[in-house]
Amino acid sequence: MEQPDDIAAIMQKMLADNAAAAEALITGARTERAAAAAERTAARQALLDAQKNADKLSAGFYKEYYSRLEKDLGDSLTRDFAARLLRIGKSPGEVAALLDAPDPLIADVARSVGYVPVKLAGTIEATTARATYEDQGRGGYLQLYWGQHTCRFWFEAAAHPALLLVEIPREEQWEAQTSIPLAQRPHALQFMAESMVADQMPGHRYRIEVNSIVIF
Amino acid sequence: MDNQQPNFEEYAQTLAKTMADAIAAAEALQIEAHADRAAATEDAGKMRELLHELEDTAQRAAEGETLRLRKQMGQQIVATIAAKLKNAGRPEEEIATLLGALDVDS
Repeated sequence: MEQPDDIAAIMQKMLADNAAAAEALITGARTERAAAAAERTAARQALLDAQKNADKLSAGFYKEYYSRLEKDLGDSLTRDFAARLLRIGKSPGEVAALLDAPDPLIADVARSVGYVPVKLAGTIEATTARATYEDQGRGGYLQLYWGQHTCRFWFEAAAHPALLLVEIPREEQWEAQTSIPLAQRPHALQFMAESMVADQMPGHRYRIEVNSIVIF
Repeated sequence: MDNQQPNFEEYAQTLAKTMADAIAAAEALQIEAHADRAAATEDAGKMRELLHELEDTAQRAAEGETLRLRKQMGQQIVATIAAKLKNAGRPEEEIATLLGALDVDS
């Protein structure tokens, strides 16, 4: 059984522990209070700084929005001008050079005005192409925009059973007359023939001969 | 030797009072901290509002420049293209056609 002295000692220790726990509670609350006061001071200071520097902040925002506007307008004008130049017959390569614009952007605009990407078989090279038509009664011109090159080919109604005949340079005259590399001739002719069928004679077929494309 | 019994009642009161005082003090500090945080939140809200207003005004001012800037930038691009074509020795007629297609007002 515990003696009264022992009990008193235990009680003394418990009083001391209790006082320490109470002090710890207050210390924790004081720390929180100090942190909250610091937050309040910082928030007030930030507000005062913002109010004091309102002109400077405004100027910064304005500069930021102006730069963004300049960039957006630059992109928009480049696309607008590229489309206009492509529509009047400039090749994507020329347009890219005139506008100092990246090829992918011009290729994107070119697609929107009717150019299609063409893969050149056997190589990783690709180009963009577009075909337009100038009607002149029983015939007309097929205008081919092929990468940097632009050429015109005469076409006219053909004798039965053919329907249309597009005149094309023979292989030996191809480069001299079109400036398109001879290796790309088959792709260019296929593109012309497919475009002609799709745009002028839907549902018909074609064959490529030595100096003509025949639509039948 | 006087073997006096400890005063349990006083002991219990001391324990309770010490802790009750501490809790009261901590609660008072918490109330102050809460008031500080509420004030900080209010100031932060005022600052956000101010920044938003400044940004909004600046954006409207910049956007007000759109037409003038578009025309100016368009003219610069056209002038650059004209210079390139001229330097490349392209015929005046072709240059005029191209520039006509790039009229910034159209």
